Amino acid sequence: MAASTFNRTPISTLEFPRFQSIGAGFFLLGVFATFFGLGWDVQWHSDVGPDTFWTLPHSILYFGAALSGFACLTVVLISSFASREIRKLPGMIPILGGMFYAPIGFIVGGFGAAGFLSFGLFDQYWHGLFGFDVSISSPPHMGLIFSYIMAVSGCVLVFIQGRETKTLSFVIATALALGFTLPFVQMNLSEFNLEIGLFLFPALFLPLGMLFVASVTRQPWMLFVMTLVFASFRYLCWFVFPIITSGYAGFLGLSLRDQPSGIPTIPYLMPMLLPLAGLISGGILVFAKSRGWRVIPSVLLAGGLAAPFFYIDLLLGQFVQSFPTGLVGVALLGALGAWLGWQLGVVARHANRELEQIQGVQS
Amino acid sequence: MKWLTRVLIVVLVFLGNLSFAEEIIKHRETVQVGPYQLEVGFSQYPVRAERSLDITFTPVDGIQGLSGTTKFKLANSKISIDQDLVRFTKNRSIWGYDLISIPKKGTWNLEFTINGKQGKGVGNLKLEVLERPAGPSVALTQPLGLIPILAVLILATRAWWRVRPTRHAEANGW
Repeated sequence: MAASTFNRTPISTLEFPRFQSIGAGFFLLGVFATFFGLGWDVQWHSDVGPDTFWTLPHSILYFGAALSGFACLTVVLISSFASREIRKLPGMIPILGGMFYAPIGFIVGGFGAAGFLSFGLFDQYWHGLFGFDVSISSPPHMGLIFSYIMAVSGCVLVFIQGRETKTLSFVIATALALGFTLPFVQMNLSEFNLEIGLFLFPALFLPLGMLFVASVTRQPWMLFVMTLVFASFRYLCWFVFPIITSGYAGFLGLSLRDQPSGIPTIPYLMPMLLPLAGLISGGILVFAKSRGWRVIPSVLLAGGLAAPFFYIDLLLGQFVQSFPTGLVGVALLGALGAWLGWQLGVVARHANRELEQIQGVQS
Repeated sequence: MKWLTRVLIVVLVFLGNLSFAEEIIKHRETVQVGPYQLEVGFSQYPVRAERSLDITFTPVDGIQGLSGTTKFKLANSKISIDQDLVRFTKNRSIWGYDLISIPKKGTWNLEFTINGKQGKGVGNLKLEVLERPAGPSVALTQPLGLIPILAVLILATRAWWRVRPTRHAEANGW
């Protein structure tokens, strides 16, 4: 049975109890701080270089992880032990045989943040053996990156409770998840000489994220809003990283390298034309719905037509020039990513069976 | 807000006093590069594969008016690392590479080419690079880093299996 409240639903339908609302706010702030710190750290190494554990970018990224972890832990503890009524709130799931209760997003996020801090310690041990890092793909770095992906995935889930969402926060968290995952996984793959990731990942993962947003919120224009948020993070980093890098270097009495890359690395790997792709995808979905088109073909079309737009700018434009027929493969990957994202949206809305009963949805 | 301001001042003063001074050069070699005499300094010595270090290059008469390149080549292999000589970030009056590592053990030939008023000069230095530091192997520890992403994938797969979205009415509905 098709849900038909697509346009009449208010933007946000989810109300948190106060402790969850505060916890979710700090969690989101924490994952943003870690994203910002990690991106700046890459810029610092690229343009200036010297490393200690206590650089400002390191301090920000670990502060972010600690804040995320603390927010998640606090919510889990309050959910588990404050009162029996809280345990019965919608979205609470038992952990360790009912010893703890918490919403799934805070559990996943808490483990992600704890993993991040643990791999941070492992990184310090690694530095002791091999010196400060010359690559981003060392084992502890891989752990840091994947722990962050776990944490930010938890943050996305925090704002979904069955069919209800805190939509704007969910959209911001999803944009952060994509904005981090895409560049850092691409950088890792290129260090393993798997540059193909530079070309495949945007086509697969951006439509996945875009259609996930449309599927979870059931509001197709939210897909476009998410791409705008993604682009705003991209431009924020693009303009701010070079300024604060040279400013911080000057503050420490250091100067930029003779041959700095001249390019903010992380935002460079975030396609700047994503909002254009979002406009096209969102437009296709709205049009298809108004005409009563079948959903899955429309989703495939929305992903397939959007994906080539990621490849127009900068580095990726070279790919198009040298391999134009590759755009067909890009479109196919985009369609696949969109399909996965749409289905995962359905999974996120219906995975909690108790919520299904409370919200009266037939599986 | 006073306490917050105080904390921020303490943090900024601490972070502003970080020591990025040139690492102590533990070993120096002198190389004749055509008409130029070049002192090569290593912050770690003996040099070990995969262990990061700073390498400095100091022409006796300074770097003013000079430019150059380096070619680090591993004997009996195709591995070669070519770079320009650039000013050292921790001491702008000399050349240097900060935080680099030599990828493999063995005998490396460090070839220097310097151009300046006295013409072009080429010189070589043999460098024995020892085994990587004793520690966990990358092959064994790399999978540890994959645990968080595996956890996410398992969670997503489990939820997918529970919902079976392709059969769910909502997947085909607006």
